[in-house]
Amino acid sequence: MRPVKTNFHVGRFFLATSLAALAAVSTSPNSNADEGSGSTLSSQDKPHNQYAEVPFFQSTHDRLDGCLAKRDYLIRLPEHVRFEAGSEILLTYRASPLLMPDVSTLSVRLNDRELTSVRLGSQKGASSQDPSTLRIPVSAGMLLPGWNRISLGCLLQTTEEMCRDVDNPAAWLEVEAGSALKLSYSIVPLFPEIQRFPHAMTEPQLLVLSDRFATGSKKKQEPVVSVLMPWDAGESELRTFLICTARMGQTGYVRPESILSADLSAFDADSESRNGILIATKEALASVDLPPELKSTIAGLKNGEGLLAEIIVGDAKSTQHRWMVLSGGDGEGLEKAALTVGSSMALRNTTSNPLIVTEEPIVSPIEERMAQPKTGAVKLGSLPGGDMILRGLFRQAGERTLVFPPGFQTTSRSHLDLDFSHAGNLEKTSAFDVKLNDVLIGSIALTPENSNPSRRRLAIPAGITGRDLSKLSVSSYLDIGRADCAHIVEERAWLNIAGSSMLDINIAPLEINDLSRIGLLCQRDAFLRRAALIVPELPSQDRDELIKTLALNLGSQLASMPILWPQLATYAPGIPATATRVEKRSGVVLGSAFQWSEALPSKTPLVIQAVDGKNDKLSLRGEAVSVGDFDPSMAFAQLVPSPWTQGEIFATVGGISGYGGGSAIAMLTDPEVGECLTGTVAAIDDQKRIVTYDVRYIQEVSLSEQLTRGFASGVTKEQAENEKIEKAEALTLASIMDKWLIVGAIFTLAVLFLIQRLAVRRREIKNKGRDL
Amino acid sequence: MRIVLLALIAVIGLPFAFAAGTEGGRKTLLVYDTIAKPFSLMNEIDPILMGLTRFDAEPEKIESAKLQASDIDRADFIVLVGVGGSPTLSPDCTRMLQRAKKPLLCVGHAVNGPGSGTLKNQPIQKAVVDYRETTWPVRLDPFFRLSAGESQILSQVVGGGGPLPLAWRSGNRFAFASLPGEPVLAMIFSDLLLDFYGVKNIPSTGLVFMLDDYHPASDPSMLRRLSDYMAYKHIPFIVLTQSRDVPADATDLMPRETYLDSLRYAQARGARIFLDASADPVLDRESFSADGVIPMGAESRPTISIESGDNFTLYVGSRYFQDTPGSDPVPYRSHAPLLLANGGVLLPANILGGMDGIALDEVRKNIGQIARLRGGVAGIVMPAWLPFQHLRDLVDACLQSALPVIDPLGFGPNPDSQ
Repeated sequence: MRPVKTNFHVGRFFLATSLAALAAVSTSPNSNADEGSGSTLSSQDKPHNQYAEVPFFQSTHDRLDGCLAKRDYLIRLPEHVRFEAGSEILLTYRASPLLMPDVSTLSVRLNDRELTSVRLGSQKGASSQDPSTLRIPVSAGMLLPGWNRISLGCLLQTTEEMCRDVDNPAAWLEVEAGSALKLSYSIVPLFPEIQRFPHAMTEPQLLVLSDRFATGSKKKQEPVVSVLMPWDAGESELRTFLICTARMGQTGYVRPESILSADLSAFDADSESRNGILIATKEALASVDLPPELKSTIAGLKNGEGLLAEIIVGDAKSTQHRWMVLSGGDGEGLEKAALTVGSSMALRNTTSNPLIVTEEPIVSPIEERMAQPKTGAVKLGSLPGGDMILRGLFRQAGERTLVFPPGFQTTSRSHLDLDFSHAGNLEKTSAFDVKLNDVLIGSIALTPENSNPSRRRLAIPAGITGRDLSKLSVSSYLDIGRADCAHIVEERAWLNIAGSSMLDINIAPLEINDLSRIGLLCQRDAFLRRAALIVPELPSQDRDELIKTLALNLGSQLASMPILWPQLATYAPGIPATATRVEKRSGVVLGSAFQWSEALPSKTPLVIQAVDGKNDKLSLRGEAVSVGDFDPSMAFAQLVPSPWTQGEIFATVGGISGYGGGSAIAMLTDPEVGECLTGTVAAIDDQKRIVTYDVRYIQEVSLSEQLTRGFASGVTKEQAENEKIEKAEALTLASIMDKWLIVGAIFTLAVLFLIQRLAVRRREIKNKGRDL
Repeated sequence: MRIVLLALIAVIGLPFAFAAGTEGGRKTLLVYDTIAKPFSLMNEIDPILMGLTRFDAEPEKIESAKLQASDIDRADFIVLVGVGGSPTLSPDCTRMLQRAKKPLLCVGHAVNGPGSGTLKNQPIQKAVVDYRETTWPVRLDPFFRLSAGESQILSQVVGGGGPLPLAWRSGNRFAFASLPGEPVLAMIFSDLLLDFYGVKNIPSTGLVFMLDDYHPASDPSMLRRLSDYMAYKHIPFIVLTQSRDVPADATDLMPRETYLDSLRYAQARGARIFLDASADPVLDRESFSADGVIPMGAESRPTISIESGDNFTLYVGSRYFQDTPGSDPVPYRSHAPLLLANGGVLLPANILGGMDGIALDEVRKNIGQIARLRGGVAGIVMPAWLPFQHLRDLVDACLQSALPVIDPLGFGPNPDSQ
């Protein structure tokens, strides 16, 4: 065939078909008439629509302040359903009664598409306290599987002539609880999708978030995932449980009550109710009713081989559920399967279902880069998003993410060289501040002198810890003086942080010196490769609940990490944790205070431990104290250098006779509690009263006395904190007074010395004169 | 002695007599009078020629005025087409064609056979054609109203003043009383060729799925989900891809490793990786293979013919021809695979996947048309920019046809090249 030009025409053969298809394909989603053709099935297969409410936020209300208030709500929608016609946004709000009704407006956008705008402000006769409700129809084509953004933009004007001042308390709008996306959807048949774990497993939770967030609701939260293991689960099963749950925690919306852990025997019932994960070696799975082909594959597993499979339970016409099976010929094989699930890249590389795993997955260089900080100075322009331009009156904010993962902290030689410029007409109240991982590193006032491109160096404090994701945030307050809000030209107020700005973070491995960083003990590596949980071997629901809660918490803090490989070891009387499992790792020892010494090699010194031969007394720094003196809800924590590897640290956490319940969980997961922890020993009760103690320094009182005082009946949490503050102030004052006393004493001595020298000198002069 | 000799010749010649018109030798000669109808620039011959490549990778075409007896001798199958009028043949050629035992198909003005006069065109704008117990609305222009006599009628125009034969046969003499320019007529004509060529082992009509134009600006999670879904349904499918050419407004390109990972993932689940038309067949094949992504075929390109030197034997897409002199090439959309000169097979990409209910109805309708014919392939083109749910809906809609899904790798090199 001879060469011809490259332009195309549509062939004659299917011209009409192609044009019709192209017309349907090339038009915007909005043009699809959802009411009639939202369904893509033939008439006999019309879906049965279901509805779910996806709330905007968790709290009772959300307040928007200021003339130009705006807020984005990110909601996540599942991917295992089809969105149908009939969805709508329900927005319940109350606005300030002082808003000018002819000018103030509220606009709603969905995924950057305008939905509606309404006027705000009380109409005559209406009560200013009555909430208003907006119902905005949303077509199925506007919704996306995964993240969706609902944006509210307001113009809240209270005066005719001008509007200013974001802090005008009269300019507000409150979005009420109950504001939600009412999603119309239909169920589509499931199919195995191992590579989409954990979202494929947990996404039914997204359809019942409203139940969880409803305030004052007494409705029991139904779990959405079951994790079934043998009742006498060993280290391999528990570690697999830990890894799976940590990965589910990465979704960010899974809570402990969303996951039910139970025995394998619950499979028949649970598989009809929810998604789930089966964890067991091949022997234990022999009694579970699995598809015959899968059963024979499992039965054929050899030692050292793991298995990863996903099955769909139920047929397409009824409710289906997704079940993942993790097994192995032995514990080693099971753990290989667990490590595969713990790596999102390994899941994406699975070649079959079921998959037999013979080798542990490896960490690719690309993945490893995510766990290591970037060394050397980094230009802002090289970060995703590049330079920053904050445009608009009053408060604006921007942020950039950077590779500064958990397991590291800044040193004192870190700094940020900011190249910035701004509009020349800003009022003197204008300024901006810069934060790194929410730690303020500097504020700069915006003056006419620095409106031209300027450079300023900000020192970054030492000790800022890395996160997933680490963020450099800039918040600005830009004011151009008197202006009419309704005709604001936002171009007039701007701040530019240039891409040439240099961020030079010097990084060192994370240091953990006291309990204030107890929550970071497991995060000395971003992939949890240096994390270990040491738990009692004795099965108990409390133990499993605690493992689950900690794992979810860890996962939620490492949401974007592709690998989570924590370790778990068990212990029993006379059988401490296996060294090979816990060496080169830091972590947490769970169990009661009476059990901690069993987890560690003998002769490991502990500040709090059982008294030999007595089960009603605890040794607190060598002092035997009756446990009856303590509140049963109390939980303790103490830092212990790892007896297996120098440089690693463990924290023993637990209650007097049990795992410590909510108190122990609070110490490990609640940031508010974590901020109050210091020293090397801490105790907390169910009123969140906290007592800390540092054995590295000489203390005024003994540990038992400290605990007695701190947890005295009648002392509330606030009183205990006030006492702490007073004590700290007193210590400071005493320290200052001591200094002055010493100075005074030295001064007095010096004066006396001078007087004495003068007196001696005078006497010498007198004697000399007499001699003459 | 003479009788024995004759018997011997018959025994020796019999297999060849049976072989003629069977799947053995298929040298086809297309004889025509002119390319275009009077006062028209539209090329009527190349589409017929391309339709013949379903059976003969390199049919020969020759103007009737230049036809020689040796040309007739060389051919196994002869198609005589009258576009503007009855083809003018030399007396020798006319005699040879009238007496030849080889299969002869007379089309258009030549429908009455070699040496017959030019017929009167009596077009029917809205005709209903009956073929294989199904009716097909078509526009017949030209159409020649003739009697089929004792011949076996294969297709006829129904309604109006009574049935009128459109196609008939008498032994290995076939007649077609129109020109197969209309898409539906082209499909019917192509189906008739199965009888003309005496094809015995006709494969069943089926579906081939192809994900079109997957590139670094596409969504890798979509490909992974689609791969999982197709693997679950045991559906092998083609992924047409290239790594160099992305839309000018693309802002979010996936890293190369992610792109290759997604292709490897798909490949492990039954995807057949094909190079897109804009890929460099040599360079891209080499670089993909080095990274474990093995291209198994390619998309046809309008500007470059598939040379015998190419390494691929499997292609998807269309053949291209100039429908008017000097124009850009347009695709010839076949409803069945076509043979290639290099021994390969060209699978049709003839059903364009839509996005919503309306387009899916069109898809079902077009698949239904192909399903009525023998040996067809509905090549479902799924644009890679569609979100997964829409792709799934498209696949499900196509599967509702109950046609079997064909593994593209099952189309091996054509027997003529072996």
